[in-house]
Amino acid sequence: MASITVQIKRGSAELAVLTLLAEHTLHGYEIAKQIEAQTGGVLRFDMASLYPMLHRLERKSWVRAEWQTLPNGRRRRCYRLTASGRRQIAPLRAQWRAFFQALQSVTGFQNA
Amino acid sequence: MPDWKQIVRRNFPGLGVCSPELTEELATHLQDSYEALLSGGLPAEMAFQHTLGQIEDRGRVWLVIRFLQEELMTGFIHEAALPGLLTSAAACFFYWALALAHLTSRIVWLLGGQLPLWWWCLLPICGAMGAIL
Repeated sequence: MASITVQIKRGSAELAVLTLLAEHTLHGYEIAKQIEAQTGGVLRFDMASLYPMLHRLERKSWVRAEWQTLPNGRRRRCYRLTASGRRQIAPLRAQWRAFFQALQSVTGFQNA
Repeated sequence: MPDWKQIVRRNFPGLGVCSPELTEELATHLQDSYEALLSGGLPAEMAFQHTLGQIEDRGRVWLVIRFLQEELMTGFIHEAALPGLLTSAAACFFYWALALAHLTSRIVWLLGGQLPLWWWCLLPICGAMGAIL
């Protein structure tokens, strides 16, 4: 499958992460792996895109991060969605839906 | 087992963007990545090199640029640039209001009736400094 351009990836990243965190509390590595797995490798986060974005979402108070210690003693910074973050999902989805509809009307592209 | 914290510190020496918390977070990510490669059957040296590649060369540059970008957008713009511009705008508005009321402030009188360019240039800087302080 052709890879999606960087700009579109960047724009869609917040929505993907927020949607994922709406279901689970996850740490950075898990977020990257789950998105990669769920999109069949089309969306792939490297560290340089993932962590600045997570910290930005945290600053916006859309996600909250807290350190959790696993039974093996290893600490992880886990992210969970806040009420404010949850409220962002619907408008972001609407924006993306409008974007795809606009693209569809121009290109004649249809979802499979 | 490589000391990923040490490796992260070595790759981002003295950078404000790399706080102790962030160092630990990046290190755990690298460790997870390394362990996943090992459990996928990759030899230790290859797994190490592959993992290291995430924070070396282009990876390191992008990570620093993106964090700086975030810092500038959230820190500098909100804390300094916007207050600076607002100060300038407020000063312009005040000056215009005084001129409309045919009032000349003392500083304008001292400067011979016209505010020089350097005065206007100082305004956003003063505003930004005020906001930071």
